[in-house]
Amino acid sequence: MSTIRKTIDIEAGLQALLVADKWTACAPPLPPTLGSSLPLVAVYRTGGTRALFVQDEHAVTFDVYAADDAAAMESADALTAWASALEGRDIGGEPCHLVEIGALPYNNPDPRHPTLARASFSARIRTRVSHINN
Amino acid sequence: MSLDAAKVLVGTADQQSSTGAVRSGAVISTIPASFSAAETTLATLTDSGYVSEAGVELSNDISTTDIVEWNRSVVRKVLDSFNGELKLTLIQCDYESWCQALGSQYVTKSQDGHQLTIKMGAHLAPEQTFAIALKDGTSRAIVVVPRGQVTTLDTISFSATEAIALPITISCYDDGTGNSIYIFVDDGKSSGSTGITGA
Repeated sequence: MSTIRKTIDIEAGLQALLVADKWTACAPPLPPTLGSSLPLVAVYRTGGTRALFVQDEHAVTFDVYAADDAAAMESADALTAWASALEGRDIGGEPCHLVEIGALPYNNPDPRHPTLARASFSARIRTRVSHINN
Repeated sequence: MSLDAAKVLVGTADQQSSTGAVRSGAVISTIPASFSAAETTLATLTDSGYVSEAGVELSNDISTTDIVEWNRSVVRKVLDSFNGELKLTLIQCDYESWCQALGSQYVTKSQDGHQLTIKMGAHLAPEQTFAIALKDGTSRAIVVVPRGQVTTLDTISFSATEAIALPITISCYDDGTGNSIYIFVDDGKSSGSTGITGA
């Protein structure tokens, strides 16, 4: 027997946790109804590394859409606290070992949605890899 | 033995919002003999809050002396001494952490619990039992030191850019059976596995 070490779908895993914790969230793509339920959190994996034999470090960006800049920033601030508390929880079925907030929330207007405000921040999230037995 | 990456474990702290992973208390009289007994021991000890990101380092130093024959070949090594140590840095500045580092007789807390008086001097912390709770997914481990003593409290930095940290070394003594450190591991698949520590 050997095992394949697969990267988890962290976008889907984080979205599921966010929804379980009463956030409105999506993994890509943004929903066509964007703006109907705010604030909305969009989670993107922007890269990462295989940090250890059984551990991946995911670079993740959180975008928070809201009606105005203040609301977007306030929700993004709250979301950093939520993300920091992920250590020890399961994401996509695998344990989260470490969370480091990178860039703190900043105003990041989305030119595709000029009527909404967007605040963004990044985090590096280490999770165990998923094991698939051969 | 087959290759199984699921058995490659990472030593993350088994801590909850209300319970740290490093615990200490009065020296135990019964050495745990199983994982579940170690869990029971763990539940009787007091946690010390956050530990720095460096985690816990366990060193298992066995020193030996060579027996060399006439023509200078080593024919045997004999045991000189065993020195087991745990090194970690406590970063939560509260009563429990200072007690773990110095002993409760050198730390006093005001009645409302908001003020501490810490006395440092030419004295060692008392012997205590220490336990470290670890987990990685469903796998868990508990390190138990029945007779441990903080023998080094390293430099404490008071700086605007770092946490006030207590870097301690715990010397692990023989418990009377020839052992100083016990490690209990549970892969989470045993019928007796309880999953996450709930202490």
